Amino acid sequence: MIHVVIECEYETPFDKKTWYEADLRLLPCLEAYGVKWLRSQISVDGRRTICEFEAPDTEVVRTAYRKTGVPFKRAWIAEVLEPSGDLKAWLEKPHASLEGDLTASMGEI
Amino acid sequence: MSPTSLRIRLLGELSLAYGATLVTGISTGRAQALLAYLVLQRHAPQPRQRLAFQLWVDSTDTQARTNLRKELSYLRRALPEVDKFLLVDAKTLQWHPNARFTLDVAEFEQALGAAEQGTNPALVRSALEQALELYQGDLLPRCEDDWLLPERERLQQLRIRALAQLMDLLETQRDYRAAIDRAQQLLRIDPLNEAAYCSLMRLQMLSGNRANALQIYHRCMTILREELGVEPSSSTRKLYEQVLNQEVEQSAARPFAQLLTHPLPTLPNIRPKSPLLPLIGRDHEWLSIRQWLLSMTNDVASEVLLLVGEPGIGKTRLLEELQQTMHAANGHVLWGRGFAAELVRPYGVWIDALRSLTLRGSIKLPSDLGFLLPELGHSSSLPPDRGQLFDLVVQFLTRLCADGIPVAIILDDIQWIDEASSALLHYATRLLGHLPVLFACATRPRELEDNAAILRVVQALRRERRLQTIELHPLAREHTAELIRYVNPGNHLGLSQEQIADLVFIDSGGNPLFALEVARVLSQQETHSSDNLDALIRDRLQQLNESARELVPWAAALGRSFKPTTVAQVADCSLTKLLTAIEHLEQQNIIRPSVSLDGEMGYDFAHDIVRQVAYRQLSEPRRRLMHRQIAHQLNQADTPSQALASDIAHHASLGGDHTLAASASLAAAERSLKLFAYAEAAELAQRGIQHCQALEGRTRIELHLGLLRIGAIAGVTQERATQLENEVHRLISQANALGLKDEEATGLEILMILRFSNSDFASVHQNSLRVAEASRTASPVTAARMLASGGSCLAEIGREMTRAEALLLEAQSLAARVGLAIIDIPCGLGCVQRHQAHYTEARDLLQQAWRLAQAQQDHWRECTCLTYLAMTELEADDPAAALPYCQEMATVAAKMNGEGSEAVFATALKALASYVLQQPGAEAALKQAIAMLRQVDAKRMLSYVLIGAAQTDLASDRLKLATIRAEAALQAAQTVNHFSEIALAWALFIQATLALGDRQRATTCFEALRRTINCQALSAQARARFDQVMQLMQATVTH
Repeated sequence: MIHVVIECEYETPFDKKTWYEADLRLLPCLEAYGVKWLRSQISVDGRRTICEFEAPDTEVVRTAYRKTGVPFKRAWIAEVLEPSGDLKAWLEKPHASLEGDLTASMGEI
Repeated sequence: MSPTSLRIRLLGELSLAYGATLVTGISTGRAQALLAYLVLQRHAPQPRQRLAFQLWVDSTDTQARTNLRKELSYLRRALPEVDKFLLVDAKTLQWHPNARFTLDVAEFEQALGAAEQGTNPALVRSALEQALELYQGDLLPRCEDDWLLPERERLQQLRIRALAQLMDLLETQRDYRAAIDRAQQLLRIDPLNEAAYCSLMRLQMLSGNRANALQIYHRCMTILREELGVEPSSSTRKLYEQVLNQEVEQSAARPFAQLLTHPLPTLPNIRPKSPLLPLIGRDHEWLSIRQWLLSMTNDVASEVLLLVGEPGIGKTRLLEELQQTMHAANGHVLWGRGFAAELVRPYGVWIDALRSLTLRGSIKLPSDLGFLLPELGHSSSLPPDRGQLFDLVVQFLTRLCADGIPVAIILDDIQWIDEASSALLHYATRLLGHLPVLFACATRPRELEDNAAILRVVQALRRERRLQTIELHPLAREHTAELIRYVNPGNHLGLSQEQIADLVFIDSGGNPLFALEVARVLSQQETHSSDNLDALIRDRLQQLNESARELVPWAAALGRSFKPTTVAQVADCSLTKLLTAIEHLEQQNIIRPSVSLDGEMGYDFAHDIVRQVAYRQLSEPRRRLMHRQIAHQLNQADTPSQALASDIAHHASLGGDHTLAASASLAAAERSLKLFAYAEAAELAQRGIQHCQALEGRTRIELHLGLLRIGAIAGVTQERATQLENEVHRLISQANALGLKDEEATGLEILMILRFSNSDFASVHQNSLRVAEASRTASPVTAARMLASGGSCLAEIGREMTRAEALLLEAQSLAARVGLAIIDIPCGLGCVQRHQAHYTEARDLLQQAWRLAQAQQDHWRECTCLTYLAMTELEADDPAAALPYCQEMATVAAKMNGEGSEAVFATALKALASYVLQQPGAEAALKQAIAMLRQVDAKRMLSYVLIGAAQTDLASDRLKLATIRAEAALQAAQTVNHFSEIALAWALFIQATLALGDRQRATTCFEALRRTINCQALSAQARARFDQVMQLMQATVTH
């Protein structure tokens, strides 16, 4: 399972009812795809949201958004850093960059 | 209209209901005791002094009398219309002799009296079961007054005697399962009852459970020693020895598998004795049914059995034979029947079928079915949508057949079942096809054509080759003769048996019901002049005794199977008189026991034709009066769940009571909506509106708008919506003119519902949350979209494909009602077909979905459909045909906002198709596409493309590359848990490894694959690949 972040932007501030209704459509679909909603952050001006999910891949989250007609700006895989975590160890660990993986695998397949 | 009745329950906790309202004010122990005392001693006035002494034994005389005054004052305040129930004077108190009330204790004793007097076993059983159902607990268990204890003890003893009596009766009827339940119930309340232990031992032995019988003896011995310090009696010990030596007669009950493997000709020998006529002239049909039964033991999905034939031809008789066979095999049978009068009773046939399970006393229905069966306790949480409602029933049936116990769902006269029942039938047949659950139905051919809902189901089952139809034809002459010989009608005409048989055969045309009627007449009269069945039945009804003749019209007017208590209520006759009449009617074969209704034995006419003849005999004015009275009585008896509302509406309509017909239609339509029975809701609303035309003023406007609101929520086509809007505007003006604010608001709400229902799903937010909420739970538009979304989600990821298809078909049927086109439906169904490698059907459906998406300018769904179309062509070995779809997909993807993966998919599928076609530059393009798929993190598509590439590599002998790609595909497929792609990738890896000569690794991998794989869940393509690998591995072992 990976940590997926979905960013949304709105031209006009959204209202809570709209958001709630979108959730009602979205959540059953996410559940069918094996995705778990972790949390969301909403800008106080109501123009931006960031939603975090635990998912098998990014595409299933994207599909659920598209299928239920909920617009989004971009989707990406994230690593989560906590203040209580071992930041030094993280710094020393090679970065889990997709680019690196790609370069390695492209040569083979 | 009849006055409201007070219902008092003293068995168990005290409860009072006045009409449909619970009376809650009598909460203190003394007030309850006072009420109970007065009701139980209702036949005489009770001196205040004696009452005060009995209820306050430890108080002084003065204090006791003061207490009595105080409690009496509470009682007077709490009881509705108290003067109708209490007679109070200075010296005495008395329960009013003319009070209109019912008391469970009295009903309990009345039912026991009926059982005592009855001679017919079915009636005695029904009366005993009714009595035991009424005994919900001991008499006021929390009251410890001295005056009450002897009465409580007396009732306890009556209950124990009734249980023992019923247990014995069930044993003689060979209903061992139900008898065991009753014996266990008896032992729970009377654990020292040695006779009950003996009965239970014998019953277990008769059911073939010798070990259980022995255990029961030991339990009996232990408890008698521990509690009483005595040994079991000599007769109990003797029984134990018989059990040890297996001397008790074995029963007819046998395990189902044994029953089925028994040679066909000996089957009749192991069926229990029955009051039914023997099955004559139906050997061929019964053989087909036996073979159909055998399909339950196969792996293939079972077919639905449909018996088709004219009235009286013997469909029900064959279903009864099937029922007996199932019971003999200890299987469960659910029996329901459609009624002409009940086309708008949501799930009517299923409700009866579920209740029929409890008739044998062995099954307790779960409370989560309370939304269908209010007697299970009011279900606080209704299922959120129609799919989940269906799932609750399917899950119950799945649990019922756990441990391989066979289940038969038998539905007779399906030409009269409602739309919701039809939809649930279709859903259940799909999902339960692989379990030991069989569906057997019977129908009349002509009437079936008039019921669009069930006709659609039958046509769909036939199309899917999941229907086995058996047409019943008239009996041959020799079989008619055999039937007549069996009933031995006697001979008043001086004719030979052969001549009688000829006469009956010519007159009846080989219709068994008709033949039996002709034979019956011949046995009673010297001539018979009637040449039609109706006339013969009419004659027979004329010969009934007076009380039976009085009962028949009421039973016929009720229009369905009936409870004796309902008929007693509507016909206003005593239960005892009624039971005598029922006994006579049963002896005359006019009625027979039917399904259980609310825990009481139900009855029905022996044949629907008898009901019709009895009904047609009534004059039009009498019919109207009877229906009106039935409507009013049912209205009095209806519960808060309004389960009777559709019956009330039906009878009020036929009785010409427009106000009651319109208001009951509204209540019934609201109940239908709660159960997602949209067709029934719409039909009821329409019927109610017709009655509104005869009403005036505020009542008319209020009911009309209420009914229009239901009609709007139940869903209408765009064209009808426009008409409705005009109608609503007219009513709003009328409401406005009369100053009816609430009605005006209802009108405005309807307009919003209509606009919401016909708007796009994405624009829900434009409407108020209130309307969205109301419609979300009820509207077929939303329900269809939810079902389509759920079904297509599953179908697209290749999971639970049977359920996915069932959900999508249900969505399709709902969407068709309101003329709605939902892209997810053909798209999801296309995926189901692709999964099964039905590429022609998949193409048609996906193209249909694509056209819809184009028309609705839903670009994402356009891309999705194009993706599946390209995949279909690749899987159908036509990669060139995939290329144009990829090109189109790239064009559409460019029009989309936001960061999506659609363009990448287009590129990847195009690269794969080019690679398969071995076009120049394809290799580099494929590598680039794989990298892009990794970048957008689309593992399902990544795995798909890698599998396609690995297949090409394997075919082109690039074996090493094939293993690398297959392994990478496997990893991606495992991450998203895609069963078919996991199997495909794994199988390809094994094939390539084997081709590279590494047999050991291939064998290890194959063993791991075989342990992991579930062939049922795989796509046809994955299954084929797996079979191929298995053959290769077997060949490897052989060499």
